[in-house]
Amino acid sequence: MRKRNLVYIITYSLAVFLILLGTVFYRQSLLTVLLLLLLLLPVISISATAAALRKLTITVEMHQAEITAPNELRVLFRLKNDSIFPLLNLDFLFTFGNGFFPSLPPQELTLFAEGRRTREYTLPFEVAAAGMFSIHIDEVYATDFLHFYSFRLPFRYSAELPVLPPTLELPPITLGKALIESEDSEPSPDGDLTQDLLEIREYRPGDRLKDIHWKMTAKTDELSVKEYERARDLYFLLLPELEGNFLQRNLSLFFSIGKRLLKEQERYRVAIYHSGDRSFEFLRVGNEEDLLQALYRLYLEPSERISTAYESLSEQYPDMQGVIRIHGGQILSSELSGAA
Amino acid sequence: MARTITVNTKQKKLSTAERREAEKRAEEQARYGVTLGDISIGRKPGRFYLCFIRAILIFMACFGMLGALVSSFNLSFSLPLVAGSLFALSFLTAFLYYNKLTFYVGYFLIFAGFIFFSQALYWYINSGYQAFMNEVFNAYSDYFRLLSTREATEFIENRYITVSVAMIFMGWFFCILLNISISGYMNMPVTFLLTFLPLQIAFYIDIVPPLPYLCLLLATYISVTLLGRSGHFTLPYRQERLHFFQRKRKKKSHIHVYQATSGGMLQVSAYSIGFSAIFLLLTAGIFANDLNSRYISNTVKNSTDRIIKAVVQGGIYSLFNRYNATGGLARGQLGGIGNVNPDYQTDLIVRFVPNNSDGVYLRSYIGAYYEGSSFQAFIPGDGETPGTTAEELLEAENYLPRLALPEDPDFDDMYNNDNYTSKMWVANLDADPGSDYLPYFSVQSSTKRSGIASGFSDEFSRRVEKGLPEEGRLPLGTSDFGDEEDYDECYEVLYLPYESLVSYNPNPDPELEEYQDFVYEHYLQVPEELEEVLDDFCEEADLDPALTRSTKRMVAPSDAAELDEYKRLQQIRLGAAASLKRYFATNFDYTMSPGTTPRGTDVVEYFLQNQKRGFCAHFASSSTLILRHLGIPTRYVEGYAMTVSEIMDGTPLSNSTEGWQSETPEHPGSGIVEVEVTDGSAHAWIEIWLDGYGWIPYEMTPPSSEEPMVNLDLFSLFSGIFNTRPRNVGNTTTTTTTTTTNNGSLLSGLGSLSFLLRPLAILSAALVLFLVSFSIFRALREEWRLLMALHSGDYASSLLIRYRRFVRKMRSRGRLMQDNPTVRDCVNALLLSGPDDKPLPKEESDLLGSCVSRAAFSKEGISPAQYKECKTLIRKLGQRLKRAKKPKTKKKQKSI
Repeated sequence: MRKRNLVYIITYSLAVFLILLGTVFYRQSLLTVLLLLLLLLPVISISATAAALRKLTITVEMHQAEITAPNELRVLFRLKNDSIFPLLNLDFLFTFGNGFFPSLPPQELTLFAEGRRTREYTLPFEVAAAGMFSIHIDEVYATDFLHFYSFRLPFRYSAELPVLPPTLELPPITLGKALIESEDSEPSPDGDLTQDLLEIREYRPGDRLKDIHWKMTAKTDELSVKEYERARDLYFLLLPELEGNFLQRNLSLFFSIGKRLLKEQERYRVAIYHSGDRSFEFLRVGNEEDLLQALYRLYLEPSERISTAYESLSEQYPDMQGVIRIHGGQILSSELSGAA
Repeated sequence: MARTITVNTKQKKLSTAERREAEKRAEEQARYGVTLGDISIGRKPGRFYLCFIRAILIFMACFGMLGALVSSFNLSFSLPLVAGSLFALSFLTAFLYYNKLTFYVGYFLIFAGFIFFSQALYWYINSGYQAFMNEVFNAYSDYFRLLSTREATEFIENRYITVSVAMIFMGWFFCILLNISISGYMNMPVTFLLTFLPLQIAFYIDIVPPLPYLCLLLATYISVTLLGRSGHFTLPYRQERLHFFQRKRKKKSHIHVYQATSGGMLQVSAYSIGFSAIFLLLTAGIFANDLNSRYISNTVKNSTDRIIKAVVQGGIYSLFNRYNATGGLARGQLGGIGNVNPDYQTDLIVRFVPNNSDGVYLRSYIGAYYEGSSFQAFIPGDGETPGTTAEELLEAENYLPRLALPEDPDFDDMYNNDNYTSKMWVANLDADPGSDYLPYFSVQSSTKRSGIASGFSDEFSRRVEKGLPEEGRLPLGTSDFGDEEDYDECYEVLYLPYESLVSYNPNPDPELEEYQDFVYEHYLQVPEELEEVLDDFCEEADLDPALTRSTKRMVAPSDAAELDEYKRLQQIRLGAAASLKRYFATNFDYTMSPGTTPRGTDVVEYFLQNQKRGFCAHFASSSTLILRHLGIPTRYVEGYAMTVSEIMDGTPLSNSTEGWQSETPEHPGSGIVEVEVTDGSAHAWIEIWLDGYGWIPYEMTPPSSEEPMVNLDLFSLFSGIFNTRPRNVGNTTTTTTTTTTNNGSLLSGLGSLSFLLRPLAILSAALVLFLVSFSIFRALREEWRLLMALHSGDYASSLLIRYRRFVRKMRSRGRLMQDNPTVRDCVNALLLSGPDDKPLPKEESDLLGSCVSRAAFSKEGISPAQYKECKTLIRKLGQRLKRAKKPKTKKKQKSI
């Protein structure tokens, strides 16, 4: 039972008691009947609410797949009440917020569901910044008309939606590439092979023997070949740093340069920094979907203190060729001319 | 396609609330990256339907209450007319909240219409109301077994129309009130009080109104309770431009609550009607049973019954001036009774032998000293001389009037005495039990019981009262008709029958002279503050005090010349009293409904100068003071007056007068008669002192020139509150004149609204008082907070309070234009021109700005030294501001 119900019950009891006194002292038959009514009313109120709840259907939907900030994100609450009694106090306790920002205070939303009707409510969330928008409906209460009793409904809802950063108009840039010398690789017009497995495919004449995936071949009775990325395809490495004041700007820059590279038909990698084990994870981006996946990973694991790990990375890429670092609201790279 | 979020993209003028909301959302977006906008329900909120449902609720409450009330007393009315009118009124009042225009214009129109309606159909409304009240009185008379003949005058006899019009009028009034309680607050207690209390008129005497009306009322109660408790009914016009959902930002949570749902309200109302109907049908049996007979009587109910009776008989204002009164008599207390409404129940039973052609007075109370609208039975001391108690006053006239008593009197002696002596038996049924009711001139009148018992046998003393132990009872007297035991209180009195001024020969008794001095010393008392009033009145009534104020006082004239002189003097005095009586009869009106005397006003002064109408107590009290002013010892008396016709209507008990009369009756054939004295016979008169003779009763109340008309004016219901003169109290001439006036010109019509002036003045004064009090309260509250903050060492809050006060002054002086100036705005304004057009030095403005900002936003607050420094600065600035002239009218800059 919720606290405020108790206050109402006490107030109501007092009123009934006073009328009871009046009935006794003034011998008023009508007051007696009113007293009877006052005793019946809470029962009816609670019963009607309980009856209505049995035929209540709650649906919460979020239609958009993704949006770009700033924008409006709509969440639809649909309340279908098939009973004849209206529900005037349906309290939804929920939280929402953006993963990059502090949490908003918990929200309490009171809705109604008229009898024999379906009512839809749209909650427009005005999203000002990129990040992972989330909404969690934790509790739902239905209170009777007199606020005597609140039914707790078994309803939960959670949803997340990435909000994309706005794409920035980048200044004209020219992508330059330095050749990476490698002793283990063979010269190829497509560039050198790397250790990154691209895919496993059927054998084609001309494939190197050492690339045959023997285990897979044994399982499937068909020759399978491991195809590796060529160094030329994965020349660029995006290194976004999501530090405090420049978070939104850096996200936009990352997203913009990512799209720009794809437009230039460049495959590249994105370094995601795990602050827990201070390691980097490299995500390969070959299309828009990969870029979004990389973005979502950033939302979930924002690379805030990447600067400290930057030096360790420089050991892997001693000349830091092909590294595009997004830092302090700027794109920093030796490979780009005219970078912002 | 992605939409760009910008708050207030449309260039429309925002209200303050909307601007604040936009600012808060912008803050939230900046802080949290996301905010919740206006929740939408897919369509515009149905303001029309919301108002419409409220109109239905108001109609149900209003029509249910009035219909139930009127139907309870079997009055018929035009159902379509009343229902249609009330629905239209409910509709109008409910739609006042539709928007600002309807609110401001609508209220004016409704009030103007109300005034016009009440003026144009005044007599219909009043007659309808009076018809209703007549039926109520009849019902109450039946219920309480009252023999009431109280009846209001219905100037228009067609009750079907008058009751309908009166219902519309009352409905108009109640619609306005119910609109506030239902539309504004959905407040069940207030709605219940407004509609259920009037119905108590019927319920209290076990009248059950027709069920359909009760069903409407009950449905309203349930709907209002459910909607009010659910908290979703409001759509005030003020929030017209805000969203359907109200948002409250609290520290722990943000709450979004929808305001109202027309569909939900409609369903709740519909189910309430259905439920009420079923409920009433099921419980109808309870009404049919007479529960009252099963309950034991209780004092609460009984005392309430008494109050109810008083209200029914005396109107609402009788509650404001309540004291024990029987038939309008109240032991010398005057002015508090606005209406004398006898219930005509028997107060006394009197048995005696009628022996003259006059009526018989039964005196119970003597008022000697007048002060504060009250005749007291005692004379207070003045600090130097001790006062005289009521007992002493009565004892002083033990022997009066003169009755030649034998030395050892008993009834046989008296019976055989030459004096014409009679006996009276009195039983007190419902009269004031604190007094005896004695005829003129009782042998034992004005004596203590024990005193007279020494001269007479116990048989003639006061009789037993039931409840005394058996051994304490005294035997009844000789009057026994065998029923004395049936009365709680009865007694016998020997008396000298008095006939108006048959003879007033002086009585040669030396003791009388001594008492006469006492009389002249005490019974000429008039309050100093009334001297001027009485002077003016005497001049107006052509009464010359010089004629009657004589220093000659006679007890026993020694010769014929002195006797002539004595008689002449008495004639002059009685002549003055007669003149006064004539003047009253000519220039004053007798009415049983004069209205109450305003508080703080002397009743005699008000009666003589303003009211000029009243009942016996008004005439008797005023006459007493006027005659005293003329030098004639007079006193105020209350009791019962049996008229000749009442005596003749009495029940003959016996033809024999033996033991009841000292000699053959004057009127042969008369015998012992029993008269039931009702409270309609309660009366007030005066006693005039005749030198050498004693007190004689004198009647000053003029005869009523009209049928007793009960004041049941609807508007005078409230006259006790505002002390205005009731409109139709008076004679029919007045009412006829008023009727004519009402049909006359607009100006005269407006003139008839003068009765509203006083209430309006009082309300205006109350409003001004409220505003002043509120301002003082606010100032004191702020000062208190300042003190408390200082006391608790919260210098930041203290500084902010001083700063806010200073900013208010700046704004009121036109030095700050912004609606909600920030600290920066204030500092900039000071830097530009200062409080007196001299720019403030930058160091000082920086100090103020930094300290206030720190006090407002920093957790550390400010130090005591900083507080003192800023306080001094603010004080200095305030003084400069005070000295500076207010800048000439500048157009307020619109904040962008």
